[in-house]
Amino acid sequence: MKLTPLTILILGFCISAVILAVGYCNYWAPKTAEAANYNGLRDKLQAEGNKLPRQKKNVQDATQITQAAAQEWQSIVVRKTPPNNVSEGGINLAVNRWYLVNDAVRFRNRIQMDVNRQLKVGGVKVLSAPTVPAFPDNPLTIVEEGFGYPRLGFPARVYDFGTVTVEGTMAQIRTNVESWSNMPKYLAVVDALRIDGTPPRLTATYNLSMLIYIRSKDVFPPVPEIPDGDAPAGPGPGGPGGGLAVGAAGR
Amino acid sequence: MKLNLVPATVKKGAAMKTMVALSVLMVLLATLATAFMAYTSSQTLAKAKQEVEDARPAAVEAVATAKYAQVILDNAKGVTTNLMLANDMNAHNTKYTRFYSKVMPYVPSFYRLTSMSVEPIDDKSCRLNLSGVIQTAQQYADLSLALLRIPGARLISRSGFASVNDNVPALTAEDQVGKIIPAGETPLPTDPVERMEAVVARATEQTTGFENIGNFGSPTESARGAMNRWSQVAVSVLLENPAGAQLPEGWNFDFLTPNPTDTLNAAAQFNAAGAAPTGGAATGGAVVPPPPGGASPREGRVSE
Repeated sequence: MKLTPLTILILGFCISAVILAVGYCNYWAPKTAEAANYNGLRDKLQAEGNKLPRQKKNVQDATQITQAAAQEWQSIVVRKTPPNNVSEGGINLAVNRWYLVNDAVRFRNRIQMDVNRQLKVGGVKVLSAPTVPAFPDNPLTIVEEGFGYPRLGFPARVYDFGTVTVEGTMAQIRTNVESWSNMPKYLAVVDALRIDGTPPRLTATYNLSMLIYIRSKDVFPPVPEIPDGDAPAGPGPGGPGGGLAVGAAGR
Repeated sequence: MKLNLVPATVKKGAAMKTMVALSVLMVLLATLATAFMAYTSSQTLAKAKQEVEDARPAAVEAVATAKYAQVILDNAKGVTTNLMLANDMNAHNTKYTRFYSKVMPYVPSFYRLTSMSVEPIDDKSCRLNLSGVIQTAQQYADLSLALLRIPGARLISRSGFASVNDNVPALTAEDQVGKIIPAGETPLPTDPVERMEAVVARATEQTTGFENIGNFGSPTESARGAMNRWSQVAVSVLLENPAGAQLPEGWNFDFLTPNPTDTLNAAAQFNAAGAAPTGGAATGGAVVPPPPGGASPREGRVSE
């Protein structure tokens, strides 16, 4: 069989086409597409990078906000938390928990005195007043159950006292209710104020909740005491009574 | 006529050479084009990659900076939560008294109030509940109109009014006039003697002693209720501040109460999830940071 000129031309055309196809499909198309993808990524990165000045401003703003919040919070701490000292009417969680149980009794009484004093602000007559519950008297759980630590992340105590009823004039009641905002050492909130009766003898009923943030840089760890239910039945090697574990006690 | 004496194979040989040369040229051109495509696309890709690498550091820094800002805010979440709670609690104590002072001018003088309270609904609406005494049906009607003047008043519900309207009775054999009488009473006879006897009988039946209605006439100091022929009326007014509406200054229908228990528990859960360290406890000094969250007392004395 002889090759005609036309066959040679077609053959050359086909070989050229194959070479071009290889160049296009193997190099041009994939690399161009990949470059386009990279360009898209570049645009996104540049757009993100252009936000840098704004993000730096955000950091500055966040720092300022948190600093301002910290300062404001410290001012509230000074006015609205009990002192870190039992003798001044506060509580100190850094003492060992056997002592803390006793301190908590005094602290509870101090809270009750403060609540009683606050209830009479404005010159009203108190018809129904709340009782401050006692703290747990168990040294093993007083911090956890009495002050919510470490569950809350910091020691604090919330009292939902329920209903309070006072009697007086409208001005006396207004002064009484609004004065809870100025109660020293504690945060209190009055809710559902209802006023009954006719002037000048009005009766005000409201719900009272109180929040006590406890100042504490330190919290004493659990004391080495065996709970009542787990105590040995009779005198053990440690002496009569048992219950006191020998080990790493104290701070 | 000329004769073509060149053999046919000679012509085909020349064409063959031309076609071979043309084909070789085509192949060469295709090869060159392929090389160009490979070179150009590689250059383009390399340039794109380089641009990406050039843009990456700024973007990474921007993202890291944004995350850092969020970390700063998250770290202060304990403080900000407690701060907001404290401020909300302090602000809430004056809401009721101020609201009642605002409402009182809208309560008409003929409505003698004996009770006032507010129920929160949401942060934009509340329900004002009033209870008091009024005398007439006209006052009962006027009361609704008066209370609707309260800014934000949308709906009113009322109850308790006992109608004491006077009625014109139908004629009877004894009463040939049909005089107006209070609702519920029987007509009096027209004959003067019979009328006198009927009035005497009614007085004997109805006057049985001191009735002590609404605590009136009693020595107790408790609040007086409704007098005879007056009514104790309860009114409930729905107050709403829809989005975009302008209320006069000082009006606020948000009576949702700050809840210390729920707020502290929610913050504790947030911290337990590891979002941020705890902060914001009441620390002693002005510059002392809060105690570390999650520290185990079992490891010894917890301190800074």
